Amino acid sequence: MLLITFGLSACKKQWDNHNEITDQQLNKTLMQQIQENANLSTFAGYLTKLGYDKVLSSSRTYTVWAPSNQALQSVDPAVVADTVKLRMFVANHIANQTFLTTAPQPSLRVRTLNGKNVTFTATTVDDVAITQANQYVNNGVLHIISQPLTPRLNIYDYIKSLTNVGGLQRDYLQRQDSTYVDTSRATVSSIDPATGKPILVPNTGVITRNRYFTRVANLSAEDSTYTYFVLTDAAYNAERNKVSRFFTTVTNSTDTTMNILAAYNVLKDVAVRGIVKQADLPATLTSVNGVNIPINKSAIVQTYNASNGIVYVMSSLDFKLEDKITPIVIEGERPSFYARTDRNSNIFIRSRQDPNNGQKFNDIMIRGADLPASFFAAYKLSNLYTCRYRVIWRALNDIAFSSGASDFQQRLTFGQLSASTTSNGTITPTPTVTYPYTGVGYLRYSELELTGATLGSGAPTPGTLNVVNGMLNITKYASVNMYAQGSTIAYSSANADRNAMTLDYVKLIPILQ
Amino acid sequence: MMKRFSYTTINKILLLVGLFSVLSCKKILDVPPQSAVDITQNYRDVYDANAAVIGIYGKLLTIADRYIVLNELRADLASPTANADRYLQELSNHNVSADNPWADARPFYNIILNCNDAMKNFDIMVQQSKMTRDEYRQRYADVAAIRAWLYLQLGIHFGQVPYVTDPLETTDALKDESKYPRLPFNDLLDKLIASLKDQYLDAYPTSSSITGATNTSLNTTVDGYPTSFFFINKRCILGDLYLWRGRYTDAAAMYRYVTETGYRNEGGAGNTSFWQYKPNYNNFNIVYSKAGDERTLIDDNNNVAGWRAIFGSSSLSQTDVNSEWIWYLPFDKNFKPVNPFIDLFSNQSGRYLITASKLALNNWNNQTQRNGFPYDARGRLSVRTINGQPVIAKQLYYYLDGTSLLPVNVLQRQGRWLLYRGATLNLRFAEAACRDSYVDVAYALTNVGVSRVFDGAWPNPVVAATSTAPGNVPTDKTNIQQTKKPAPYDLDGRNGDVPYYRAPWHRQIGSRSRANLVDLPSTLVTGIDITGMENAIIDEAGLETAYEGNRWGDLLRVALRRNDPSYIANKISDKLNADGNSGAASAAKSKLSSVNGLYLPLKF
Repeated sequence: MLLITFGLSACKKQWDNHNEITDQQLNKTLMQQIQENANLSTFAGYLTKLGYDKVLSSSRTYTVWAPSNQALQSVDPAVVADTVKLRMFVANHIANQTFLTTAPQPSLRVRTLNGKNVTFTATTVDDVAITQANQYVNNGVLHIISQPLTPRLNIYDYIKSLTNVGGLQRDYLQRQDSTYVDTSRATVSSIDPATGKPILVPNTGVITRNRYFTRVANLSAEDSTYTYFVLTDAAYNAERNKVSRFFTTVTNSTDTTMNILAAYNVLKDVAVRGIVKQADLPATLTSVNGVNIPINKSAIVQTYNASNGIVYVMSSLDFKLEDKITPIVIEGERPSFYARTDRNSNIFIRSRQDPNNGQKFNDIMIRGADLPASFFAAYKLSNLYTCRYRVIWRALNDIAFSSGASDFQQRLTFGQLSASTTSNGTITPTPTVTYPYTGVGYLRYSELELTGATLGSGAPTPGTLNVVNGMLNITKYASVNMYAQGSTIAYSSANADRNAMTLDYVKLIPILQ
Repeated sequence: MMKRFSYTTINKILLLVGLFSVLSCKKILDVPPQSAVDITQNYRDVYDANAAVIGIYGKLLTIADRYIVLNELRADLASPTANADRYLQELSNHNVSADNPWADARPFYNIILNCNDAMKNFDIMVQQSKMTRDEYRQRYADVAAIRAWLYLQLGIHFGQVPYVTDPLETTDALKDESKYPRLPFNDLLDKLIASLKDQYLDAYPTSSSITGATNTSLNTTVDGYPTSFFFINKRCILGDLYLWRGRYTDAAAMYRYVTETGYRNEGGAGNTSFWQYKPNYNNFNIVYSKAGDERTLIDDNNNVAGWRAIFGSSSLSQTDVNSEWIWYLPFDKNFKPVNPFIDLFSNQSGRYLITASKLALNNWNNQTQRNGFPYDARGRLSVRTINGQPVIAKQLYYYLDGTSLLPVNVLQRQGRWLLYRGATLNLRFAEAACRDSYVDVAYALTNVGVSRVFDGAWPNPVVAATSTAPGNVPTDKTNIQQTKKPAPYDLDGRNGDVPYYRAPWHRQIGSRSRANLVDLPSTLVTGIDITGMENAIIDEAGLETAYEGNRWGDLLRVALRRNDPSYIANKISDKLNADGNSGAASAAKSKLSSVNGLYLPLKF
């Protein structure tokens, strides 16, 4: 027994040694490491002042990019004096988890404790050089840097801060801010005994939402990056004037709707995903909505590196009109309604393949026994630009008529949304613009441009559409009905399928000049 | 002092007594256990024999996942998903490492040893008159057929395997190659054919009114399942063995016999005569309730008019389903083993390990239907898009809600393992006919049916009679619509009214026509293009029976027959390339360019 005790006590030293820390660096915390370095005393003072000394002594791991005393001399005294600003500033130098300079391949976006992201590469952080890298301790890693990491504005904050340039675009974006009350986040003061509904404390649960951010690009989100173009007021007006006539909604009075629509049409294409630095800017970029942005580098007025991207203020951004006012394609197989609701047995949604190029497509075919004459499929077209259109269809007739007839006839008509009337279950459209009946050639896979439109007799005034030079002309930015209509021949066994209608798509090509 | 002595003595005496008592206990302890059956009590009467047979089928369920994974993932229609582990990736890429658990023959051999044990004991039982000669023949043949099926799987995946008919205790003995030499595949096939061809080949006879405990028949109903589907069709497996061995006429005789089961039983009295085991125009078609309208595809678990009901049908009493299913084993929600297919295929409460390859989807999309739709709708029913992912759905229909495709109950994992069905049989028959140089018969079986190919007008389109001119197919069908070939290719598809004929094959249209696809080119027949027709049959097998565990065997059989491993190598490299895995594609292509490269490494 004694022997065993002696034996065990002799072992004690070796037992302790087996997991003893041999690297003395691992006995220190980040805070101790910072405090030991006399050149970081200013930063250490800020940390202590704000209570970050306890954070950096804790057992969670952090990465700290510590600016030297010399670097911190350039910091605005106003920031140092204001605790809120100082906290924002200091927190910009600390991130959760350990990031060694070997981690970026080639760069990493790292979220700091203030919620902003910094770009970390093997030698820099947010373009500031790292002078001493990878000083690891037991709760993280310390990098010493030569300049402070001043927190940057995000794109939206930067735009809001613009004072002498880009005012119109700034105002447009700010007008898209709206607020609503989220009852789940509001404070409930009491419950209304009459209705059982909660009564909320005023001004609680108010959420701000920006329509532009949901439709185009969220410029205030820190985690997605954009290259964003701000137009000077002159450039903004020039671009808006280019497209505004396509959004005319009234005649002979101030058209505020037009201005809103035209502004959106311009500004929906000034955001690009990712950061493109000035040196790397190509001649054209593609916007988040897929439109080409022509870029003239000499038109850059100023540049700002934001926390979530890069902003260029441009004195000109010369969009091509055909990229902004684009053709409208209506798929035949997706009608809004039909002439009658009881003819499902005649309606066929099909899948077809073009033998010329192997492309597959879906279309609609309306045919068969007891199909009423002049049966149509109608399509509600929204947001038609105010202009004339070339009208093109692709319609595949693959009915092999045995004898006599060679093909069938169909037509397109356009009418006001409100102009349809119903009698005995059949909707009778009153078309304002009527294209003539046209033969649908057997197995014709190519497009066909329609011509010779005429104005219907019952056209209301002032209408939203009429005919100019035999073409569809939309006089107001509006919605209209399009009717794809079969022939007036009534079904009989001898005339089977002579009143068929088929449609792959209709293309409305705006005339731009 | 005295006291102390006495204690020691007593202790010693006690010790001695204890020793002796242990020795004498030996006999006493050797009592038969009351809660377990001793090995000598295993085979006492026909009920024990039945239990042995059912037990073997129960064990067969445990290799269902292995069967599907090996036969599909190694072939060209299935691919591992991002969730799949290294071992599944290896199977697909054909770079199987030694520790791959899927490349293990022991699960097959374990069941084979069970079969051997049962067969040995059946021999003893019949000698000791513990069961009748007939009962013996039925059960012995059934187990022999299962064993042949297992060996065929081993041969397909491992090439040369030891052929053991002794009831060994464990598979360890198989490690000794001097005792259990590895037979070349063809020698193995010869042994398997010999073990089966003179056996009792019919199904178990239906029991009379006796049910329950006194029923000695295996053909009964257990837990709501008719057991007749559980048992392997011996003529199908024997036909397959002949087909693998290159004995095409023998194979065709087997297949033809099975195909006419319905007519033999009913003699033209009912629908089953014309429907059973023949893809026909009555059932399981790709059909649109409003012809030509894509939205109206019959896509329903229980509507037997639609093709999906083959896999989704929940009711076992449907005579229509019975005309397609030949052999299936159920996975019940209440019993083990748990259905492995949900884990393999489903992305809803499964691990979603295997999905369709791009090549498979392309194969379906390259077909054209008779109504002009530029794809094979079977692809859209075999592989569903669920939560944005392509999911192999054949094995999942019985588990998912019929319309929402959500699991009805994630904990109730019912399903079935469909091993052999009418379309499988039909295409194998076509393959045998094709290789026997009856390309026209093979074409009729695969494609448009006997009554059309042999109507005298084919390949010209049928012209209907008018009031002034007769059609190009005579109304007197006495001498047309039949193959007029020597047996077993003398198929009769006559469908005449004056005089009245309804022959066994008159509704048969082949699985391609059943799927609403346009006809194969008639030049296959007019040019007697055996290779082209064989390619078309295997392609059709891929479209019709994908993910049912036939694919690797189908490809391998053709590659071995042509002595052309590149047939497989090209298909596998096409799959890997289409999946964007070009590195693995070239490696797999070179590995599969030799016959030895087609097999998995065998180890015990």
